Amino acid sequence: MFLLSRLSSLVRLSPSQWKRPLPEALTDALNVQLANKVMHNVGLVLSVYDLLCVGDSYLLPMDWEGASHTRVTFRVIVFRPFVEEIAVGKIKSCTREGVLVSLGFFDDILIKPEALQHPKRFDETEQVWVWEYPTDEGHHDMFMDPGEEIRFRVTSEVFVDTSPTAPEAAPKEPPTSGSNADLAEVKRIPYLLHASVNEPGLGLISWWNS
Amino acid sequence: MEIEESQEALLSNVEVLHFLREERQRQFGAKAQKKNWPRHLSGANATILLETLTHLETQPCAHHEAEQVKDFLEAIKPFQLSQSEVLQIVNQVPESTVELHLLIEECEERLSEEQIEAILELVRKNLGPPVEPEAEQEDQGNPDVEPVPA
Repeated sequence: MFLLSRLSSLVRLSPSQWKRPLPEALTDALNVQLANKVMHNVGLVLSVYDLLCVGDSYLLPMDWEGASHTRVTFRVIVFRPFVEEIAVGKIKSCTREGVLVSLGFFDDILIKPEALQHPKRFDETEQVWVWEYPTDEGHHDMFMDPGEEIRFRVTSEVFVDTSPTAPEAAPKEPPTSGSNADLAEVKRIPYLLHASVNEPGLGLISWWNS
Repeated sequence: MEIEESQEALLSNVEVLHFLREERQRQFGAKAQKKNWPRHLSGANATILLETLTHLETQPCAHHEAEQVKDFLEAIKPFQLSQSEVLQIVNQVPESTVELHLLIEECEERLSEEQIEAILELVRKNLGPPVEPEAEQEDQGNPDVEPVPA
């Protein structure tokens, strides 16, 4: 689920920060920039882990506040489950497009209908997906209610560059509702995980606890 | 911002949890001392720390100690599992055969039934939940592959 990434950056500290111990001030400045943000093709950054190398600090003539600039190499803790990894989360909501799962700190996990346990149907009145588990006399309905704990396998990841685009891309007509356009593209989710639950042992935890 | 190495090392949930606990401690400590630097700076990652902590405290890693995990890593070596498989076992703490099958690729070809039992026993012994007097007996988890109708 989690890994360390090594990054380097030029950190700007205003003079008001100079009375603090340098490593602490640098760490906080980096956290302001990075914590809780998705870095393209890296993952969701949680926090700075450690500083590996702190270079000399410089005052630059063009910086009118007189801030110092320091080259830092550091490591951050990143949330990025590998493909095929198993994880446990909670169902956030069910829609026709699939089941959305949340880990509390990360919400963009989608289980598409074809990746649910088979056979299944979408219950319109309850707005939940149902696994029609076959039994001797017909089938038994297993509901996927929001809030339930669910175990899933990560099947793929989608990074979308959400930095502002050139104006000509903007006035595109809005996507027609109900179209099967890629969810990540439409909503511009920077980091979307696709997951599946169609294996024995996957799905709601309560299904498999006897 | 330059990315020098996007995946330098994998971290287990326990390691992340312990780091986050310390980090929270550091922030609360700093606040308690009422140092006069802008508070928003030292709390920039507070939201994500809290959310991640809340999630991890519900996971099996919440009651793991570093020593326990080290012992387990030593004990699991003879089974020749890949690094990511061991990592997932430590994170997920499988209680039944069906859970273990999910975590280990081609489990049936690579491991005999006795080996699977041995791994589950190791997991129970080293990583299992702290023993509670009455829950101890029922908590073993039936390795039944059939789901139970709710």
